[in-house]
Amino acid sequence: MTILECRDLRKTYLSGETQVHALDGVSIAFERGEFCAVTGASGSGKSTLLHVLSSLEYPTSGQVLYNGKDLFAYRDAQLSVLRRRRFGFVFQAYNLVAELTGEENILLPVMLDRKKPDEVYLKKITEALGIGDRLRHLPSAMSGGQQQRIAIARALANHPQLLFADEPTGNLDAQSGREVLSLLKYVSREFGVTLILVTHDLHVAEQADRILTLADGKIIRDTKAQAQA
Amino acid sequence: MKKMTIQTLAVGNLRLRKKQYARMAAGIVLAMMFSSGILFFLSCLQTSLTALSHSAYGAQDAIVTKADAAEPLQEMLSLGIIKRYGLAEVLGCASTEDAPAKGFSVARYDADALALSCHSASEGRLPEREGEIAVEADALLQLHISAKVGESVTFQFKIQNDDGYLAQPIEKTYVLVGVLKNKCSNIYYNSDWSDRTDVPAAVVSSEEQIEPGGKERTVVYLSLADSHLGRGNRFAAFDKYNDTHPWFDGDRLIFNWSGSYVNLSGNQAITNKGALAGLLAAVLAVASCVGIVQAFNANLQERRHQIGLLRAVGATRRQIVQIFGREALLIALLSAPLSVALSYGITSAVIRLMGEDMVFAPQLWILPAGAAVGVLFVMAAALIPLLFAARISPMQAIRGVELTRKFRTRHLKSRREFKPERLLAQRALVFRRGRTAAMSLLLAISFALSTAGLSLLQYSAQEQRILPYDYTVRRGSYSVMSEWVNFATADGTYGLSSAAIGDLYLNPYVKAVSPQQSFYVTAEPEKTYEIIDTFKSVAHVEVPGKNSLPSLTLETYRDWSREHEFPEAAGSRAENARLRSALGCGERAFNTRLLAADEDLLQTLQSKVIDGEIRLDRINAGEEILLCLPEKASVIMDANSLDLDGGWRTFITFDVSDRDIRANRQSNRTEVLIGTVRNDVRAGDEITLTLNFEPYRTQEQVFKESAQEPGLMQLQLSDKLRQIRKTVKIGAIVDAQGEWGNDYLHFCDLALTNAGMAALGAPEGYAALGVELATDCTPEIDATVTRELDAMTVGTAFQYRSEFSFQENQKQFLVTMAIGLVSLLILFFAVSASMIVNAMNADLREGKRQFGTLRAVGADARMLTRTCLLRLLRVFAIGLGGGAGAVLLMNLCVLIYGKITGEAPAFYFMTIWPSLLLMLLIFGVCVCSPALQIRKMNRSSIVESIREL
Repeated sequence: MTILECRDLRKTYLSGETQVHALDGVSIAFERGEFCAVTGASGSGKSTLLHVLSSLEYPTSGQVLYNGKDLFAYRDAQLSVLRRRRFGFVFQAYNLVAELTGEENILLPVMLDRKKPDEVYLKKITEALGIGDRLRHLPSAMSGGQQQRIAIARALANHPQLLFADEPTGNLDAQSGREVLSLLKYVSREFGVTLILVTHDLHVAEQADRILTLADGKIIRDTKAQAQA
Repeated sequence: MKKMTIQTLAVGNLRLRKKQYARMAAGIVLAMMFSSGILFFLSCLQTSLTALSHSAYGAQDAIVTKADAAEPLQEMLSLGIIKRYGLAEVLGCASTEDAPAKGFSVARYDADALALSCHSASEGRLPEREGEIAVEADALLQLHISAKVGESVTFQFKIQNDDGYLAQPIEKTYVLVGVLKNKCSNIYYNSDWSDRTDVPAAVVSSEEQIEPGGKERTVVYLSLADSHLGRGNRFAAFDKYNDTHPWFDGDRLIFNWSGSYVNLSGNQAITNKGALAGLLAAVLAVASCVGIVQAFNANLQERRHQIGLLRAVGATRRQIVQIFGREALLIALLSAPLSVALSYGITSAVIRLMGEDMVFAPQLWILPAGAAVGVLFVMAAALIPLLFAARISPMQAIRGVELTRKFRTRHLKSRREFKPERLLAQRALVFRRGRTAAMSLLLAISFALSTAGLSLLQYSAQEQRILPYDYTVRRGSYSVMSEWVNFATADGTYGLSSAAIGDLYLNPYVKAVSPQQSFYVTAEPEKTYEIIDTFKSVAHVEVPGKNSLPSLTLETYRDWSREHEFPEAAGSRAENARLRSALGCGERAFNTRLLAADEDLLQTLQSKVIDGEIRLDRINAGEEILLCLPEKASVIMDANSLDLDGGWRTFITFDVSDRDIRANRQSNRTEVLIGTVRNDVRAGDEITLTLNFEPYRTQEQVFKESAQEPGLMQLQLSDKLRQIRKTVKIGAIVDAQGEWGNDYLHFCDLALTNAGMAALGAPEGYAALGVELATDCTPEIDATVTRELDAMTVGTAFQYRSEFSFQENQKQFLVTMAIGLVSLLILFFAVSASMIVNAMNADLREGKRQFGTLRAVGADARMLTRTCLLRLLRVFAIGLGGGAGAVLLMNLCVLIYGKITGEAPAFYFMTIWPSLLLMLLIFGVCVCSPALQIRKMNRSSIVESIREL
């Protein structure tokens, strides 16, 4: 079942005098529970694709359909609700709120939604991520791997349907990177979350169900399409 | 490769950020304009005050009213003691038949004297040929001359010769060609000079000759050379020369005492206006200074990254300050000419607007000085943020390490359930407590300041009139100060005559005139009054060292206080005893004042009678008088005197109430009730009064140093002493200290009616007048009454005060103060508001990533605005709390001060509503700006904001 689909996405930046086509007519669909890796060289448009798919950025033209509905037809406040209820984000630079403790960071989307935290579920996540002892610390007192785990926990806190990860292992050493990746895989399987992960690391990409390769804003390879073909 | 210096970096910075710097330069131009404007303004104020002083007194430093020889002047000029001098030859004294003692000298001036005296015509012109005269306005008024310019005037002319004056005055007629601005009366007003005809008040042409038989009196106007040692010493060389070359009688010198000029009304107006304009300029300068600090601060905040990089590649803090300081210097230098030109133009316009009293004449050195002051000002303002910026560590700047690193987690309570807005607002306060504290402090200060200022303003606006009359005329100076003998003034009178007052009664707006007389009198009771004797002889004693306080009664106090009296007291007691016997009074005689007024005033004392009764018929007949004595008198022993090494100081007090005693007990004072009047002095007792009168003599003629005791000045009685001695009864004793028209009754003053005074045989001479108007005063009524009072007092020792003008001045002063205060408050509030807005916006900008993160995890703009609002609310709550605390503290101080001094506090700081309103206003402003910023940021891309630097 298709959960997210994009049609003829184009994104153009003005860099000085020249136009840069970050996305040049991308159309693609993602199934529920799928683990998809997006790869490509630097500047191929993979991060832009992730941002547009996750509603963090508006495309120049084209559509993103979430459960068949146009994402960009929503008002800003509705998009905010969508982001905190249905989507989860993991950034390369963690992006934790520096003034909140680990626990508060994890709970932030839940609290923004004015809901009571699901204690059992949260305990499960934090145990799975191995961050039970860092919850009362501020992000500045944590290592990069720990921060990234907190970020993952935050992304999962609200039972999202979609998890977007932008080079989540990029800032980590090999060991932590492997751990984080297996965690992502684990949570996506365990909680039935669609995982879209951007990486330029082929070893990471190889672990995905499906690999998309971008070059100059176009999809040049889709393992799923190849398999179907 | 081109050599790279700090200069290139600074210039490069300027080029790169043209727009930003243009904005900053505009602020800098403003700040420099205001700061150099203040300098211009002060210089013009100085010039204007000097010009005003010259127009009121002349430009001379001294006037010698009778020079015996002119040669020493030439010598002093060549010795460099004096800079310039001019001679005026007095040809005679113009006077009238009815007031021979009044009058003015007429002189022909040489060019230098005319220049130094600054005589100028307010109407008409100076005389050019024989038969013409120009007279000062006050001089004309004094002789009741109503001739207009162009008409002829006739004077009785007293011509002096070597022996004094020619026997017969000569009648002379001149054509009045000009009315001069007052100089003579101003000079006399500000000195105790007794002979008011010494300085010429009328100018005739240089062709005019003295009448046959007369001899000119030479008046010298001179200005001293500027001393290298500063103004204070300018007279030293002049004095030294005159000691060895007596060319005039020392009594004939009138200095221009610059200190005494401040009383001029025009002067006051200039100072008022100047103070206001200066205050506003200063306020604006400070505001622009704050603006510069802020502009630089924002600029540097945005460039933390660059600073960090520079630090990382090895730039020292000093170099950072140099690079960015040079940018500021460059901008300041570039803006200097424009700023100076602008401030020159604006100052000249403002000064012209301020009225004709002000002269716009800045010296040329002011231009570069103004620019320099402006540049310094800007540099000082720029240095503050720079020094802070240079303290950033390289990594901190490059990575933008969060403030949280400094904090320990255990200080925070982690919450499992929370409202994100509230938690974030609270954490922002915790993590940025420096900034929060600064904002709150500013608000607290603004609140406390505005409350204090407005309360004070309200209090001064409420202040009531001090004197009970619409107009008060009082004696300003005495030729001789003695408490035993009354000396006549130079014109032979003992005060204002009823003839002179007469015109006032005819004024239709005047309801009542209350003339009051005051003479020194020697009073001798039948028996010794202990209470008077004690307090008249010794009242104030100091006992140093740790002596215990004796227990005192009326009987023991006198002996005790004699033991501790000041050494001079014995001397003056001996002198008093000598005078007593010389005046033919007995041992018990004491000197005091005898006050007289109309019956109405005496009637007001009815409620103060503690013994006897006021019988006006007997008082009018000169048979009875009133005696002012306190019902209770006591001694306060004050142990608070630090300079006495733990010792005591005593004061007498007459106004004893339970409240006072209580208040004094709380402070370190002890009050001992010494006695009450009733058991000592009784109404019906007889008392012998001796009034002593002498004709006019100068202080120097009256007092001579004692042959036995050097340093003791003894009063010399002359054979012209006239005595009135009469025994009267004490009709009533009144406890009325501080009462009595426009004077105050003192301890043991005697009082009666004017009719009673006349019955005693005292010469007529009113020491004071109170004038009441029939209606409320208007400027027109004030003009008619003051014209009459001018005519009455000009050329005499009397001065008058118009309550109306006083109140008008007061009002003007209040308005000035109010404008100043309100502008200050607005400034303070604007600064607070702008700082808070800037701080909030800076937080938002710095927290751009966090903002993006929050949006990415699903926060919307409303939630972010609420966070901001909550934070502001907390800042304001803290500020308001602090401000209210400060106001409470101030009131507590007032209360404590009141307790210590035992006086009821005059007012409390209670005017808080306007401050609250202003706070609300700032809050509104402070909310709007971040809300707009959030909306703007919300429209930008999330990805943009969360991207790493």
